[in-house]
Amino acid sequence: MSDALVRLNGVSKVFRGRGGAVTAVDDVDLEVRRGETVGLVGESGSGKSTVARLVMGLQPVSAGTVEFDGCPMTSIKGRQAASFRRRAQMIFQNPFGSLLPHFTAAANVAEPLRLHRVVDAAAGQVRARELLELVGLPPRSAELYPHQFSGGQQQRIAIARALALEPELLVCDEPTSALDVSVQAQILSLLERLKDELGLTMLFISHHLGVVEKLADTVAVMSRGRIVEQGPAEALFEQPRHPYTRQLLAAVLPVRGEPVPLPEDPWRPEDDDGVRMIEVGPGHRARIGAAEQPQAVR
Amino acid sequence: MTADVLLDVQELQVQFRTERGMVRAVDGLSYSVARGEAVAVVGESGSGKSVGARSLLGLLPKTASITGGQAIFDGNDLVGMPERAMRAIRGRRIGMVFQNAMEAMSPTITLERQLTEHLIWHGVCSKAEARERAIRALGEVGIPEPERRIRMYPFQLSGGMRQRAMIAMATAIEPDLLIADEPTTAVDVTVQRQILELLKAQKERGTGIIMITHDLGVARFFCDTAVVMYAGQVVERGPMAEFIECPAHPYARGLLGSTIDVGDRHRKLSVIPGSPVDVANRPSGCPFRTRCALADADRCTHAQSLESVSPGRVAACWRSHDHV
Amino acid sequence: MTETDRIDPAERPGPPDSSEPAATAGAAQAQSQFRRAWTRFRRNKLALASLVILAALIVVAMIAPLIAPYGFEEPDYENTLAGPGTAGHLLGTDLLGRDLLSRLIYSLRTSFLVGFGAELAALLVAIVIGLMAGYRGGRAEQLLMAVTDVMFAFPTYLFAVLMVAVLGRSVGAVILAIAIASWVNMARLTRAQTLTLMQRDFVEAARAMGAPGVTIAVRYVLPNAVGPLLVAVSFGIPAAITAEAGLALLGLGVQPPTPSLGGMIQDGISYVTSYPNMLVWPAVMLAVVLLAFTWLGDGIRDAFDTTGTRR
Ligand SMILES: Nc1ncnc2c1ncn2[C@@H]1O[C@H](COP(=O)(O)OP(=O)(O)O)[C@@H](O)[C@H]1O
Ligand SMILES: Nc1ncnc2c1ncn2[C@@H]1O[C@H](COP(=O)(O)OP(=O)(O)O)[C@@H](O)[C@H]1O
Ligand code: SF4
Ligand SMILES: [Mg+2]
Ligand SMILES: [Mg+2]
Repeated sequence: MSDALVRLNGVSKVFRGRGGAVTAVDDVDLEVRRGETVGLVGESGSGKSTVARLVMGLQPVSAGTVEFDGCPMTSIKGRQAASFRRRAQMIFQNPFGSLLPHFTAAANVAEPLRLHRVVDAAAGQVRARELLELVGLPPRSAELYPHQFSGGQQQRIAIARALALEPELLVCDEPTSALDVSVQAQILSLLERLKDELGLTMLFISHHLGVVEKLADTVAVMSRGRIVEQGPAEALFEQPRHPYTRQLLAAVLPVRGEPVPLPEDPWRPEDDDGVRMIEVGPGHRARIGAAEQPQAVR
Repeated sequence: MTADVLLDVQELQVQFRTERGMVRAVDGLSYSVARGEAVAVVGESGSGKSVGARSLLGLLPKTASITGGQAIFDGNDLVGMPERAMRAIRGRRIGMVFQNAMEAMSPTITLERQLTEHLIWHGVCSKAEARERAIRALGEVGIPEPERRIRMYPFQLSGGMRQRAMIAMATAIEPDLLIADEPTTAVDVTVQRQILELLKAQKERGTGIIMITHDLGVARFFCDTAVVMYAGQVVERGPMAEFIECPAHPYARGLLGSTIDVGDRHRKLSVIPGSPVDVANRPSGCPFRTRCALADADRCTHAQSLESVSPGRVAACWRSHDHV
Repeated sequence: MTETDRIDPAERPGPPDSSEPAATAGAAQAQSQFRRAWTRFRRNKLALASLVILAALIVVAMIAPLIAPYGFEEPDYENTLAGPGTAGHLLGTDLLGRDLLSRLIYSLRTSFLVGFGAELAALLVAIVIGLMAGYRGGRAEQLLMAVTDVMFAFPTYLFAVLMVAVLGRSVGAVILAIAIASWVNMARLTRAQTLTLMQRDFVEAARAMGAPGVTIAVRYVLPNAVGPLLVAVSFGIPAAITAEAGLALLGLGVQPPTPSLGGMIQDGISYVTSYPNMLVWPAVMLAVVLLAFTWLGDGIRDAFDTTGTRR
């Protein structure tokens, strides 16, 4: 518990627009420990990307605190902010869009090194090539431009760029959702390998339950801005406690096993109003209040 | 199955005229669809799934042309069919559902007109009756308060609801054949399940369905037959259950092995190396040989034809017998 | 697929993107946006020919003193109002016996100077203000909006006329007048481009990387707006040349005796019935220049058109 690299305490984010206020993230508590991969799963619009942006400090929180390595982010200013930037990096869903189109692959990867004046230009080029090799791209790709790569290769470049500063935290927002399944498998294998080799700490976001289960040590399930259940991946997927988690699992169509019938009476987010998170197992919490008794599931 | 064949596609070929010359986007696509049968066309992006389907309805861009093959629907060849005749079939006897409902709907027209116009146009029923049918169809796809919603514009609906409205639109006229091009790719899993249940009901009424998807879970849940495409060609075709049980073609095996299910935490992913093939640079011989672990320099450089591997199943790989 | 469909974070899990560029097969060559644009541009023969013609004319204008047979105000009293083909005066002479070919070459120089000068000055201001307005909003945006409103209320042309009236008729003043009259549209274009590009994911990625705002605006966003700006400039230069010609017709162009295409046309109009060649040469030259720029602009626009992935 003490080794939390990132900790969100009662974090909310409200967007006010013409159509009124949208609570994208609602009172979220979340912790990412060093060396651990936390998976965040939920349907689109549930607030996953917003959590990622709040963790990265790309948007200010509306309420609550985000702490990075024990230090509240709101108090990080000036020089400190620059050093925080080096410690957390992010990869995005759309790899082509997130790369600089007018920079070569190597220049894209070297750019964070240049920005933070880590090494000089020549050393940056050398380092960029090493990183490209680390993510499995051939040396000749260094001088090519992003549009000359396939989607999977572009995502590899984005990963190399995110790793350039040797960040302590890597936030991945749907990194494989725009990719073909064969390429998704490649990228996941790459991330698994990097996780082992470099001891990365990751916040891994996906709407795909199987993908999250594959990569994450701990999983949090989000719906309408709230976390409804969180716990060790094994426990959560084998013994889901919240009706929404079960519903989500039932909706997934497996290739190998048999599909589960959908629950008769679908759960609605309103059902959770006023319901508290409770401990349902070691490190496993669900928003099922005190009223509901633990019971055997599935 | 052969008795009730609705559509029989044989050796379909489609080419695009591009800046870099002719590109064979679809190069030999064959399958058939019977009444009440759902055929899954699966494969990675760029493998020619959409182009193959759109060519059936003459919905290709101007730079494309069908250069070979036939598609017999109800005794008539859809290939080369005059536009007038095609219009009588399109939307009436063959419906189409797209990945993005916005593609099928005009943004400035209410649902009512979108849904009734073609009913009236095809002379299926009167205006009043069409409205009633449309409302019923919306209700059937699970859109609450259809009387009110039918007056809305597409952008006033959520993505999932729009997708359902489009299905209502395609099915209200009760087509014989429905082509669904990634109908659930852009929606969440729960909505996906609802949409598939809707299409299942349609199928049970005897509609033949071509389901284009890159999601093997969807294909397996919904379809009876699998058609696996790679680089514009069919590499494997056969009953879905057998295909999932033991795919014959190395690419199909790789695809299945790459697919991640819930519960796969400890399964080692099998990874197909390399990137999906660009049809503009398709290698000679077996198109998969640049990524295939079993490729040899001799036989794989020769074109592979679809050979029977077991009754009702074909695969385009000389090694596929070893695996079945 | 579209690349500018961001802002909506409620993005759906994307489909495999079929507009993906091809895998790098074999030994692909590095292809920057300029190389790509150039490859496409070269295929457009009309645009390529226009580029060659303009380049030739620009060279001629630059070395005018070296190749013009006479000075632009050098009179030949023996041969006033000479027809084309007169010995020593290939295109003839004007009322004062000044060699029309020489004047044409010099006026090309003036017109290019005005066209390029005004557009480049406008571009510079437009980039700074447009980028700031698009990226930061705030004061730059308020200024741009206010000026835009004024400009919309005032016809641009009228504005230029007023400016010349105030600033005088030296080449510099005319350039300034036209630049002031035309920077606003360019700034609005820059702002619009910036706003669109800011929706692209690479901006958020850059922020996550820790890039400061100025770096993002200048180093990441601006280079991607180069295509549209280049197109705007290539349509803006002939517009500026036309504007100078228009001012000249009102007697507000570059101060004689410095010749400009507009000034020569104005001179020619007075004698159009008796000595049409005084009008024909500058008019034809103006038409050639304008047409070439238009074709060039079309070519550049098509070359940079990256909205649809071309294969
Ligand atoms: N910048 C923003 N302005 C307004 N609303 C936003 C913004 N970002 C996110 N939202 C809203 O917040 C909710 C959660 O969005 P998001 O975090 O992107 O979800 P997810 O990543 O799980 O799909 C959505 O309803 C979305 O419309
Ligand atoms: N408008 C087009 N112009 C040129 N080529 C195209 C066009 N549309 C598709 N193609 C080619 O056809 C191939 C198959 O495309 P498509 O059928 O859309 O693939 P899928 O639906 O399997 O993802 C693509 O790889 C591409 O090369
Ligand atoms: S023919 Fe050869 S390369 Fe092609 S799939 Fe079979 S073994 Fe692999
Ligand atoms: Mg998201
Ligand atoms: Mg498709």
